[in-house]
Amino acid sequence: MLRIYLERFKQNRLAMIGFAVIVVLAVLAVLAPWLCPKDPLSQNLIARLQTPSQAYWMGTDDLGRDVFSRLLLGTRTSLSVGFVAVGIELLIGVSLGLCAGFLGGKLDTIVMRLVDIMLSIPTIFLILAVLAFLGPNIYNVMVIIGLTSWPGLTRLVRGECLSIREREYIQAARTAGISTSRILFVHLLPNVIAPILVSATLGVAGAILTESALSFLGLGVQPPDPSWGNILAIGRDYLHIAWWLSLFPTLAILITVLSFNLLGEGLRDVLDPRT
Amino acid sequence: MGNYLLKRTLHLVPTLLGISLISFFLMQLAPGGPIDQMADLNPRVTPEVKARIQKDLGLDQPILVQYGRWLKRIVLFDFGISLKDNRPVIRKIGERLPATLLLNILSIGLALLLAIPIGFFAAIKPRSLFDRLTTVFVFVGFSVPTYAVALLAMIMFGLKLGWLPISGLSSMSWQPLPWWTKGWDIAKHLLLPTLVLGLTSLAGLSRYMRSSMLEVIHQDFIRAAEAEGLGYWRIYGVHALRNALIPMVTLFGLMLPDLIGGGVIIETIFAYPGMGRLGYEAIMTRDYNLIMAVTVISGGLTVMGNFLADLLYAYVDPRIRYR
Repeated sequence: MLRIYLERFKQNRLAMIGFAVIVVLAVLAVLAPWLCPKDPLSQNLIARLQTPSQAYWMGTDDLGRDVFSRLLLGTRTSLSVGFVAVGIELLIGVSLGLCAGFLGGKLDTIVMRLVDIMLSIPTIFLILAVLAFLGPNIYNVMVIIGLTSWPGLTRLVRGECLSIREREYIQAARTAGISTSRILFVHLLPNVIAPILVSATLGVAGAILTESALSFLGLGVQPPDPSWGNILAIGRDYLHIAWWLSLFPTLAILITVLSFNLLGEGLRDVLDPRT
Repeated sequence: MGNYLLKRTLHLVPTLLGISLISFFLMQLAPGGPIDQMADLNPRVTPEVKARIQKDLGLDQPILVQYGRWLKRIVLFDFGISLKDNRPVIRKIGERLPATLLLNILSIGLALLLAIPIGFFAAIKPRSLFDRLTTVFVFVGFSVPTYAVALLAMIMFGLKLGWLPISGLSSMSWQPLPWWTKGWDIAKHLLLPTLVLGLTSLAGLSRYMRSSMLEVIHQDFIRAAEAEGLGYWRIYGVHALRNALIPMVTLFGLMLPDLIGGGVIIETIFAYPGMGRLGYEAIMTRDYNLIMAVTVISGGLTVMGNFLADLLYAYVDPRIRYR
């Protein structure tokens, strides 16, 4: 079965490109501190706002820091926020969704009401308020994005569960007296893993976008630590004289988020050919 | 329908209550109480005075009592006064809400106007050049940060070409102008934020329209219509399109919080005088009453929007009512 999926995945050119770019980005993120041609934090006020050149591939910012090195180190920020936030989302979303969908009853009602509530409040206000109150830093950003993004996933997992719950093999497992937790994790979970995987991949893309927006607004990763969003925020101040400060971080975000979206959609095509 | 209406209305209560709970307890996360900042900056406020203010505001009561009192007041739309300028919060929101509604309605309208034909044509000829091009556009649209698009638009149309103003809703010398010039001025200010906000929801909407249309096309009644020899446009443009539009109604409800949320960033960048920027400023200045009011009201608006979308859905698709 896995081999069929792998074959189908290989034929999906766009998804393969997305996957390849993500692998490259992940390697860059891990090796960033050793790959940077210049120190991403050291300021050089004589070389402020230099246009891209051989010495500074993507120019320098308002404090004379090398934009290329900062973008490289920013890859680390973006990917780690993306993965950790989605990890938290998965932990909450999948367990609530499984329980609500399989156990049903009062628990289901409560969980779904909670989902309705969370989906009604513009989460950006929650995120901004929490960051303003508890202090803007990368850990709070990861946690709060994870804590606000689970409702959609919960709804998805619950829906899948509801349809699988009535299948014969689950009924058989129940009749055989297998414990609920075993049914949940051994028999149910593997059968809902496909949509979860797709949603998680697209979720990473969303989390990276949110982090960059927060850093852009000044409530995310704080300078001097580099993030694509906070480089863009500087770019905004020098919009008319330093185009490279806005262009390169935008491209970095676009390419990364696009790769995760392509991979996610590709996975959907491969794992769930119905849609 | 009456039964459905009643059931759906009763559902509103716990959801609204939940929104108020989250908005209220969110404020408890803030270090120090609401008056700490005010008190610490003013040397004349001694600990005794501070205690008295706290007592006057009811801040010495248990937290649940405070929540109960607050809830009782907001049911009557009394959200207290802004800690920044002592004006009633509800009036501040009243000033900003129309601008946000205007921006959102225009941008949703624009997005729908483009998304429906794009999704329609992409679906009736899947894998055609048009379908591929729009798919590429959709992916880029999903992946590009909204605020970067806003920045690019500001550089292009505001700074380089100088065609459009890039901030606010009206020019400085606005008051004495005759009404037609006023209207033109507002339209020019609205254009960029509307375009940017509209384009960001266009990607998702057109994708959704495409899959909705694809689903309908493969249903039996379309094949029956083909077998009966109905004309191409009659089949797709009338029978298929009408059915494909039904799920779009629910999507509208789901999009509302996104638009108000996306509005925060767009409104901040364009210095647009709407609710989103008001909320952002309230958070940055720790204006507690205002923050709670903005979250409750925008949550409430979303719930009402969803409610209307559901009713509309049940109205246009009788299958829903009998479930």
